[in-house]
Amino acid sequence: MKGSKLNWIEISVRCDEEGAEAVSELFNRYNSGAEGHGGAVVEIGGFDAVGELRQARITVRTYLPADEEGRARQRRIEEGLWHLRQLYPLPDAQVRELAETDWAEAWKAHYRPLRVGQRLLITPSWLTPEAAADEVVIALDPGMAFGSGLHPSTRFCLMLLEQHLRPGDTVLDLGTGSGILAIAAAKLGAASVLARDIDRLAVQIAQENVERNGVGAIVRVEAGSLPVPGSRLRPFASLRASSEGLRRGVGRGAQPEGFQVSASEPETLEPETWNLIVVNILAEVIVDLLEQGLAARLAPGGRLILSGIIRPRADDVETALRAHGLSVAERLEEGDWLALLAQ
Amino acid sequence: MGKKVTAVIKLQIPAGKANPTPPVGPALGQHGLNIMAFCKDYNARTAGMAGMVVPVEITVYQDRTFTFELKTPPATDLLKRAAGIEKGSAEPNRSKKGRVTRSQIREIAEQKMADLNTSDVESAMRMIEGTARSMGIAIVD
Repeated sequence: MKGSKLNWIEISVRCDEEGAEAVSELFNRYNSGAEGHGGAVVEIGGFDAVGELRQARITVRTYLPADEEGRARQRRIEEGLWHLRQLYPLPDAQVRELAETDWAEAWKAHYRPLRVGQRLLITPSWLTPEAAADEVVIALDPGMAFGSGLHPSTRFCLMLLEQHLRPGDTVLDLGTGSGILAIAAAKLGAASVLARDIDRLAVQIAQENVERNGVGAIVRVEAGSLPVPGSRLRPFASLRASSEGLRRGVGRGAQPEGFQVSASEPETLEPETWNLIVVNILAEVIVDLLEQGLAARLAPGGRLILSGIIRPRADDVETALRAHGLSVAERLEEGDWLALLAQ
Repeated sequence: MGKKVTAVIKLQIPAGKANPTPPVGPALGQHGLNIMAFCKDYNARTAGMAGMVVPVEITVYQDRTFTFELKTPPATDLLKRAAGIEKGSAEPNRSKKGRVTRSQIREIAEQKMADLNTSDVESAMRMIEGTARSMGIAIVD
């Protein structure tokens, strides 16, 4: 069959939770598909603006090859649905034919280079957009979770970084995810960036993205949350610097000239404060971090970018900021989301 | 970051065999998800489970990123494997096909516990036994 394009039949039924069980069972029974093409696909939609499931909208689908065997299975499924309909109030099944597509490539059509702020350009790696001389290009492939730049909270951070990052700043990025903000900070002129995430998968993906963007000398990616002042522990996921290099104090752009650590002394490797700290996580986490002493980690005149805040939680964050001697200097809002610049 | 969930997709794929054809291609493609990244990761994580169908639950976020979680294979698959049969009996009430031991039932029950509505092994075992009976698999001591 190589060469001739195989088409597919998609059968889909909208139903409630109970109906979904029955329809899935039916699809699995008549279209088990030993080749792995069969079975039921259950899709649950109906999430509200903050991602809570309100009224579940469930669609159950199955895919059959559009050949004789597939049509025979389709008939058995349609008969089965008819019987089910005598028991449950199910809407009619939607049947459509899908042309064989290069699905491995087709999803890429959803993506365009994305301009953020005045001069940031985020592009998937398979596109090479024309960038103006002063534009900062960040190559970032969409994939597993973590900031692709499409989410308002990430976009806010990029815009605030662009406006408030001063060349030579030291930057701490908490909840780095894909590493997008750390990479942007490096490309906008930061002297050093420490990017942390408590999710090991994120650390790995961020590190790949940092390397792809050629900013490995500026950005260090680690597992963890807010660094503990004077921490003696060498970060366990420091992916770039070897312990040799750390002991000799090389390969760390942030170290002052002539900085020496003897092997017997504690390795106080983290700077105590940063000029700019960006936290793109969630209001609850931001409040927690403030409780843990986030404000004290800002260098004099330092700026704090806080994002991932939904409107109803904005007051909590502002209260916590005031309690720690910080004030809101700028606020970006869109839809349910908002970001704050505090200092 | 606060990420908004837009959909949850559940499907079943033979371990190590995710590829961009249906159901994965169209199911993920319509959300603009990186299909190859999913297939690569799914296959890597199910590499040691060859021969099983491993259900997966994919959470889709507003920015078209996703996470996924593997579920335990269906009880019917685990039972067929334990009994060494390809298919259950067509007439489970009349003719038996294959057999599993009580200790195999316990093993399957323990494996399925995470996805069953019980924290009690005994009641999980009863559910698995019920499934075995409906497939015409005999249960022996």
